[in-house]
Parts: sequence; C-alpha cells; structure tokens
Amino acid sequence: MTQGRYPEVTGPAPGLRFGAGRLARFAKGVVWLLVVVLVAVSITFALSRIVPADPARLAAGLEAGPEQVERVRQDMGLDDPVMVQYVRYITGLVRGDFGDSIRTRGPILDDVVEALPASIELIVVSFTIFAALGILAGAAWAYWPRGVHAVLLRVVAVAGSAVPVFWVGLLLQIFLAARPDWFPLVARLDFPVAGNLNHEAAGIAEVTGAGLLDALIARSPSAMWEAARVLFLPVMTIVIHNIALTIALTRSSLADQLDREYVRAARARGLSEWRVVVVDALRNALNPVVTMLGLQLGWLLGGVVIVEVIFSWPGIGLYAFSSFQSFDYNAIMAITVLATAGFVLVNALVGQIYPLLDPRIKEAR
Amino acid sequence: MTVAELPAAPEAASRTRKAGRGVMWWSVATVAVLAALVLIPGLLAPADPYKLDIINRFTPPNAGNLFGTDDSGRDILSRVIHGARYSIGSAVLIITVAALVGTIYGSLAAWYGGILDRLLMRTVDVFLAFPYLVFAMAVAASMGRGLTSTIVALSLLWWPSYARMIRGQVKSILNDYHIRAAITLGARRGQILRWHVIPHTYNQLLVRFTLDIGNALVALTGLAFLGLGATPPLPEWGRMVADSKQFALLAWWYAVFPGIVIFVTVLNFVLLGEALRKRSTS
Amino acid sequence: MSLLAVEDLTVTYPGGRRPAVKGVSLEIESGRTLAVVGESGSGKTTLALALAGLLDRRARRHASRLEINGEDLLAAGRRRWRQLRRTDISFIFQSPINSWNPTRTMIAQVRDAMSAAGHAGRMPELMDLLARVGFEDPERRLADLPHQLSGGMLQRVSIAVAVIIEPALLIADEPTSALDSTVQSEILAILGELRSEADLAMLIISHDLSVVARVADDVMVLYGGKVVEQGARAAVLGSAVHPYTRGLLDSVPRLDGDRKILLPSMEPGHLPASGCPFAPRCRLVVDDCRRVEPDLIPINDTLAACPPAASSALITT
Repeated sequence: MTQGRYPEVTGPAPGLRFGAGRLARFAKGVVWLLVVVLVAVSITFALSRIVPADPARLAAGLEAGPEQVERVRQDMGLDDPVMVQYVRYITGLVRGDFGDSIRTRGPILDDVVEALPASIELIVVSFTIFAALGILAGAAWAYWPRGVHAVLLRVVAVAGSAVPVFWVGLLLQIFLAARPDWFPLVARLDFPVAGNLNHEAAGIAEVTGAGLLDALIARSPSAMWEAARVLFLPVMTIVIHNIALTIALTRSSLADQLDREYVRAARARGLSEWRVVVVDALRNALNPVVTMLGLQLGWLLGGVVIVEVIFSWPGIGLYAFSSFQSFDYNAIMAITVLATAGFVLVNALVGQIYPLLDPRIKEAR
Repeated sequence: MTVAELPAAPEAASRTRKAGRGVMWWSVATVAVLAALVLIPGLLAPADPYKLDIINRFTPPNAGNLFGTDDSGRDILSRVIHGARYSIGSAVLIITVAALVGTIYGSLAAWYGGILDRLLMRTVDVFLAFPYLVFAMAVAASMGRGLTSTIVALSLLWWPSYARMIRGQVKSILNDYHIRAAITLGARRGQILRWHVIPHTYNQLLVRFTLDIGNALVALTGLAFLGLGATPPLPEWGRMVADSKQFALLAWWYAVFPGIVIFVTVLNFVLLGEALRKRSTS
Repeated sequence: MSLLAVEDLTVTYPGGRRPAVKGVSLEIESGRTLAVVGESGSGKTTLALALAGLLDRRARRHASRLEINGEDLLAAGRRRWRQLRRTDISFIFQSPINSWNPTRTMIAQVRDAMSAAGHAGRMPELMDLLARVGFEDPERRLADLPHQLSGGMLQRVSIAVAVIIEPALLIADEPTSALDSTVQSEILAILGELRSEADLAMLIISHDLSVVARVADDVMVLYGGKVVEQGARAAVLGSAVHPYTRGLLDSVPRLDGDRKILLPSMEPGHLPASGCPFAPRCRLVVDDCRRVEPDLIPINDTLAACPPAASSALITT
C-alpha cells in the first residue's frame, strides 16, 4: 500500500536527533515509543468499544444462552465502565500482561512468542533479498542507463509497486506451485502447522522455530533445502512487491550522485571506477534508500499478514488474521501494540545508520 | 522521500516528453472509462452481478462470459464492472476525506505557528509512526467487519501525511513576498489563506491525490482480501480475489481477472500521477 | 616537441544544436602555460575535460590529432586515460567544496588519490608540501570533512594532490573563481611557484583576464566553442584584433573609471546555427559573417578568426 510513497521521512520525531548527550536522547526515544504505542492502543481500544459487535457473545459461543453470555461478560469485565476497562487494560500492559485470547483461551503472549519466529524468518529473509537485489539492480541501472536491462527494470519498477501483493501470491500458487513437486503449494500441505518446516519430518530439533536457522544449527543440508523450498514462494511474493521501490529509488538517488562534481574529481585523481561509484557515490546515494527501507519494514509488518494467509504460513500474521476473523479484540490490540513498538524501534535503529553513511549528521548532534 | 521518480531516457528530452504526453492521454482515457464503470455500471455490465446460476458455476471464459463465472455461476465480468463503484469509489472517498482533513489541519498549523503548530505536528508524527497496514487492519477489525470500517480505518491512517505536506507548502508560501505584502496591507487571514495560499498547493495536491488513489486501492483490496472490507455478496474487487482463493486451482480465471483489473487500475493512477508530476515540475 | 598537441577537436553533446567545442587546435610545450579565456558556455570546460579523458559518456569527441608526450590518444580507452590521470595528467576543478566527497574525511580521500596514483608511500611528502603551500597542521586538519575546511584550504589540498604525482600536464579549470579575491591571489602565487619548479605544461581556464595576465604565456580565446583569437600573452592582451577579445579587454573595470564599449549582453545558448558565432553581438559584422564560418588568420601579432577585423587592421596600421 502506501509504503514508501509517503514523501516525508518519519523516524524519530524531529527534535529527537538533537539533544544534550546520549542519555537524554535515549530517554526521549523511550518516551516517544511509549507515546506512540499509547495512542495506537487508545484508538483501537476506543473503536472496539463503540462498535456493536459483542465479544462476550463470541467468547461464550453460538449455543450459549443469555445467562451464559452474561456470565462470560462479567468474567471478562466487559460490564464495567469503559474507562475502568481501559485503565485495567493499560495497567495490564505495563505489567507485560496482554490478556487472554478469546479464541485460544490462553495468554496471548504465549501465542505470540510461538508464532513469532516463523514470521521473523519470513520478514528477515525477504527483506534481505529485496533490499540487496534492489540496491544492486538500481545501482546497475543508474550506472548503465541504457539497454535492455534498463527497459526491463523500468517495467519492474513501475509494475511491481502497482501489483497487489495478495494477487501475486495467488498467481504464484496457481502457476508455479500447481506442480507440488516443485514447491509446496501451501506450507501446510507438506508440513503440518508446527513452524514453517516440519522439523520432525526433516529430522532436526526445533530450537528457534525458524526452519532455516534450525536446519543450520542441526547442520542438515537436506533440512535446509526443505526449509528454503518452503520459504521460496512467500518470499518471492514479498520481494516482487517491495523490490520496485528499492530499485527506483536507488537508481534516481545514485544517478543524482553520479552527476555531482566530486565524482568527476575523483575520476580525475585516477581512482578506479569501483572506488568512485561504490565507495564514494553509492554510499552517499544510500541515505534516502535506507529511510525508505525503514518505512518498507513498516509495510512488511502488515504485508506479512496477507502473505502468511495466502501461504498458510504459521506466523504472527496468520495469528492476526484468525484474530480478525473471530473478533478476538485482546489479540488484535496486542498485535497492534507489538507491531507499533517494533516499527518505532526499527526506525530508531535506522536513525543510527545515518551517521555511518553521512558523518555530517553525527557532527550536527 | 519522494516517489522514486521514473527516470527519463538520457537523450532526446523531447522524445520522452512526447512519450509522457502519450502516457498522460492514455491514463486520462482509462480514468474516464473507470469513471463510467463507477457511475453507470448497470448500463455497461452484460449480466446481473448477483444472479445465481449454480448449474453454470466455474464456466471458463467464453463468448457469453468473457471473464468466466464464479463459484455461484455469477458472471465475473459483470461483477467486476459493478465492483468498480465499491473499490474505486471507496478509494476516492478515503483520499478525499484524508486530503480535506489534512489540508485544513496542515494549513491551520502553518498559519498559527508556535506552540499550536508544534502540538499539531507532533500529533501527526505520532500517526505517521504507526505501522500503517497493521494499524488499519487493527482499526478495521476492532470496528467490526464491513466496508465502512475499512474506509474509516484508511482515512484515519491517511490524513496525517496530507497534513504534513500541506503544512510544509503553506509555510513556504507564507514566506513569499506577495503574502507578506498582503499581510502588511491588512488583508484578513481567512482571505489570504483561502485566496492566496491554498490555491498554490493545488498542483502538488493533485499529483499526490492521483497517486494515492492507486495506493488506497491497493490497501483497500488488501484489507478486503483479509475479510476486512466489503461483505458478500458485494462484488468488491479485493473480496472477489479473496473468495477465489479456495478455488484457485479449480478456476484460475476467478482469481486472475479481478486481479488484473485491480493491477491495471492502480497502474493507471500511478502513471497518471507521475505524468502530472512531470508536467507540474517542468 | 610539444607535450600536448591537439588538432581539430570537436565535442558534441546529444541534443545540442551546435558542438560545444568545434575545430579547436592547440599545442603546449613543457614549462609553458596556455590560458583559455571565454565566457560561460564558450566550451572551455568541455575542452579541458576532453583533454583529460573526463568527458561524459554521452559526449561525442572527434579530432584529427590528440597527443600527449608524443603518444597518440585518439583511440585510447577509458583504462588508458585513467592510467594517464594517475601518472601524467592532473586536474584542478573550479569549486573546491564540490570536488571532494562531502561525506568522507579529507584524509581518506587524499589517501585514495595517492594510492590510486601509486604514491601511497609518499604521504609524509604530501604533508610537507601541504604545509609549504600554507595548509597549516595538515595531519590534524585533514581528519576533517570537506565542509569543515575553507575553500582556500580545500583548493590547496587539490593543488598539492595534483602536483605531487609530478604530472606532465596540469589542467586547472577556473581554479580561483570560487574563492575570495585575497585567497585568489595566494592560490595563483602557489600555482605559479609550483609550476616554475616542475617542468610541466599547464592549461589554465579562466574568464578573468587579470588571472590570465598573471600566469599565462599564451592565450586562447574561445567563443561559442570556437577559437576566435590566439597568440602570445602580450599580443592578445595588448593588441587583440578580434572584436570579442577587444570587448572582453574593454569591459575590464579600470581605476580611472573609463570603460569603453561594453559587449551587448546576450542570452547564453542563442548562438546562430551557421556563420560566425559572434556575429549577432558584433559591431564589425558584415553579411559574409552570417554565412561563412571564419578561419583563424594572422592579423597583426595574433591569429584571429575575423576577416573584417583583418581589413580594418590593414587600414588602421
């Protein structure tokens, strides 16, 4: 969706970058994180209370009589005034208690912890691939602006961001995975829902829950192959959608740098093309790209829900989807809190990368 | 950052300009067709989009059903045509609300400046720090399923970026000499803002508006795909792709055609937006 | 034998109506300095870049002769040119702040340049040279980023890096025009001193005739990509015949305030498609000027591309 199309850089709030000393900056960052999370929680909380859907009804089940529903309502504290519920929820959050899931009836945190590794694996692998490939392709396009590859990359850059991610996933399933011997159609088809990879079938121990990593730990090439095979289609779906912006932005940013006088001056001093283009120009060109990649991660946190649903990838996205389906508002809010916190943290980390790319920023602090 | 600008071929600037104009006219024509789909689907659709015909379910594309039929035997082409109203219409609605709210909010912040400006813009920062898709999903899900919830969720998500853009623009316009002169001459605030400032933002606003309709459509159909959007039997495009999922291997056309329509529509808004941007900057 | 010899050099950019440089021929001997004079858009920077193999990939270069040190470079590839820039050709750019990467420290970039030229071991020598040209405390100051240093300081580094490789040809494109006037004359003094020590050929580009008067042995005047007049410094500055050169000389402000004819100003890029590029602004213009592109002919002490000037010169002398 909107991913990098916001022209503004969000990241830490303006003013946060400047401050007296590291500690003050850190403190401000923490306050910022809390504020953002609190607002996100409050909005979802408020909205979930003004709409007619009745969680107690859902929790009690379809066969439950009115008294049963009422009992459930009392048990869940849903008959308390909204403000009381709100304060109760916030204090719970502060203690690290996200409440219980209406659907699975267990603590949400346990569910999340169980689902998280599969999602992180999917996100990290896809992100690494589209960031690396996108920068590489964009740089090549900027350096060699004409030729067949330029036409091809232009098509990818324009079409890639316009193509709906869920449709790509579906098409890949229909046309590539229709041969299940190539790729598992759905993760679940070959591998029951215990992590993305059936560890038992692959003969390895489940250490982290992320298939690729577990296979690496077990030093089992066959398991790694399986894990990669399972990952392939979901990763490709994410990459196709996200690589477009990386390519286009890297290209325009690097082309801009290559036109600068210092590039010509470096060439005049006899520097090799590699030094001039990669060490000097590309490094400078990466600054806006890094910003955009940070924003892309924000998109990915949501996009991964769609991809996990298509491929029945047993991660946090699929968990979120089931929660939407069953109006499991506790789980929905927990996911909002965690995703928001994650996104703010990622952007704070991105803020740490800028000085590495452009030391003038560090000096300005 | 900007939407990564689509590069012009290095040589023959006039040729690219001509090509740009071609793209522009093509996009304008397509947008006109889409507008017709939104306004008068009944006249254009060959069949009733809601008429069940179980016997003819999963008919592959043929002369009578160009896009084939779905699991209830409904004509997919007719459903796509009728769906334009829900998909494009909602996208336009979302962005209109966002642009309107954002413009008012942003120009107020820029006009008053000082503490109020900082307060207002810090709020915008908070909204922009949300992981937008997750946030939209959460809002849409907490409000209960339905097209309205999704429209509310996405509008709520979108206005801050307009607020920030407009504020920046208004701030820089306010620094222009002709505005300073008008203030010195005693023109009233509302007048200046309405007649001298806001019109200068129209150009960029239009570019952004066009691009964002495409973006909103992707978001909207994405949410609909997750069941957070139009409810059956509305022929909303994302919903149709979602419904097709379980029949993907049985009836490829069910997933392919609505998807192509979404893709082409988004692509057109993106191309039109880029063409407008190029025209306004050159 | 001349160190640098160029004949009939023409450079065209795609989309350009006229070549940026057209039919330029020049020679520089070791130990001598040629100044190329002209207003912006006259093609002087393009000429300089062409002589260092630094033209844009899109630019098209034609010449009947291009030799440095007797080596024919007409067919030289990018690799050969890079090698030449490491050992034989140095280039100093107009804007010191723009000729260094803003995000890397000076020392890192200087090291890059030195190791590219194969002089990585000569850093101490470079430090001495920097100190000599007035760059104080080089070890410490070079750790800074470019924007932390002044233009004059940066240009000193550029010059030091340019001359330490002992090039045969030093090209300086407006080396002082981005600097304050006091710094300007310091930099010119440094350039002059280093040049007289090393036996190198120098090509200096300038629009400033006072700079030309200080450093040049020979002068070449470019207009619209064409050489309109050339000759020894004294001849060109003293008794130029081409109306454009005359106009340039006359528009130098004098202390007595007596400015003669100023050149009619003109939008850059509005050069005529044929004939003498200067015709639209010329006070000596005759019909032929708009039809035929004039060649350089000896008039008085210089070579000038202006037949009407030749006839009027005959009359006045």
